Amino acid sequence: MDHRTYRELAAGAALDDLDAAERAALETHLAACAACRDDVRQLADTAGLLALAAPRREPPASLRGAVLAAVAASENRPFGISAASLAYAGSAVAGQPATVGVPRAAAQPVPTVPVDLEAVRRERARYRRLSFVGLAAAAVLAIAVAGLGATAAGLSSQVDQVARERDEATARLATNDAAMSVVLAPDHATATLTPEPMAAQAVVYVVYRPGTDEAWLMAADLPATPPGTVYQLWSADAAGVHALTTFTCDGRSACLAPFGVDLGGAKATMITLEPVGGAGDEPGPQVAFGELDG
Amino acid sequence: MTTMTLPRPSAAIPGGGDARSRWYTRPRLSGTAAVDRGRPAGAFPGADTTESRLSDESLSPPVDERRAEEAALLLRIRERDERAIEALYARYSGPLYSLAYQVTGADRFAQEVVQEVFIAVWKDAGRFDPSRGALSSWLFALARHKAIDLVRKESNVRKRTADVDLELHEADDDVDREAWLNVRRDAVRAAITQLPDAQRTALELAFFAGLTHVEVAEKLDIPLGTAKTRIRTALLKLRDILGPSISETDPRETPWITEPTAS
Repeated sequence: MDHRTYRELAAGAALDDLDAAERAALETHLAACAACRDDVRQLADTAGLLALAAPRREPPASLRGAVLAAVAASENRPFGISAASLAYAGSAVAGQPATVGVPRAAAQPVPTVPVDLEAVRRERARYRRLSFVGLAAAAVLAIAVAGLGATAAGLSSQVDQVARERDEATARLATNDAAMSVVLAPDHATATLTPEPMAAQAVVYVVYRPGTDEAWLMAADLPATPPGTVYQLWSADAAGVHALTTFTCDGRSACLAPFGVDLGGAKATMITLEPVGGAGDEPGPQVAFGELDG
Repeated sequence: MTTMTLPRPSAAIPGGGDARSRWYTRPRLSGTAAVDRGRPAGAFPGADTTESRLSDESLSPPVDERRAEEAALLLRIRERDERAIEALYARYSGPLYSLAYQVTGADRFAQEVVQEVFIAVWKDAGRFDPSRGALSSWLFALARHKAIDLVRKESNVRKRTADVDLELHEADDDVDREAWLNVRRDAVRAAITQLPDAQRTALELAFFAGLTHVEVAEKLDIPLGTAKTRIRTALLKLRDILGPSISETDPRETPWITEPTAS
């Protein structure tokens, strides 16, 4: 096949009309051809523009609430569980036995409590931004609240763990809130950082509000920091190069890190890999770099 | 500060070496070819306003900023922050609903499509690959796919075998809160009128009426292979007409391909 043919296939990809053989041929070719990858992108964007040509109709105002409710309902796990409001049927919670984590010593039968779905939904709405704590752990906590063997040593340590996880979730929520408020602020600025080959899959951005110290690094698919190392943020401006906060990344989720300074006058920012405690005299290996508009 | 012995970098990490001097002499990213990954190279907002209408200051936010902002929104969605979905809804629900309505022909189906798109985004934000196109392109592709599925499934959806009339109403102008959407709508509608008639008809039937190329071929009474080629060629021509001045792709990053390259 020559590129003219592949170009047609790229158009087919954008139109979603490739048969299996065509898709296989195209995907194989794309792995080796940057020019055709560009074609695919441009044609996908052309199709996206074409979609805009449809006569513009305003959806009913009720659709917004319906969509947000559907999104919330689609979550496999609840957005948040408050043990105080959650009551479990005696034998099972979403497929997990209600006795998970209860030590053998607490041999009392688990009383059957009706599941109050409305209370669960209300609680979900209130705690909807809390990260998921863990069904099994929450089940343990619910049992403790229901008054079964709460003094059992094993049970109370599990309660402690749930409390710790919830504290971490709350702290994370506060971080999420702060970062999100910057993204939503009308005067925010954003810039991309280009990752080095060691982090080639990473997508790294900085969002900040010039004139304030609200500045966040947002990164997806950053490699996990090896043990004994941290990532460090830097900024460069007319006054020089400044070492800023350090953070770790577990490699599994999106990573957020605050800069803690006003990036309004900064010319550039970078991430390096450093030992725990931060850089010494020289920055360590560069992980990502981006220029800013300062 | 006392000298600290740094752990030896692992083999995967390029040597730290003279990191500080590298920092100072880093070349400006725009104009370099470093981005075969297909990621935005961090073009600078406001730079080079001569070439592209899209960098006109009145069309805020510029392409690269919006791209970064939407990537941040996707990260937030992966972190299960519902406000990010709300922000996407505010921006794209109108155009998505419009496309779904055009393809399915009914309000209740259009609503269902929009719901399914946002559920899909919520569940699979991590699947979006920015090297394959803009976020808006992905959303529209999802919407069109689900709308066509719905048309196939629902036997009582009126099959749009009549010629698709895009009904380009003047009243549509500037209806989206975001100027860049309205500008693009005008530009693509103008570009469509420049397509050769046969190509335009085939593309409209395939894209907006949800017909398969088999059905397009039947409707136009042409061979199947011809229909497929005609539809795809129409999209290619549309790309050429729209040109590099209106695209999510940074024109400085990627040469616009219009000539066959070496096999």
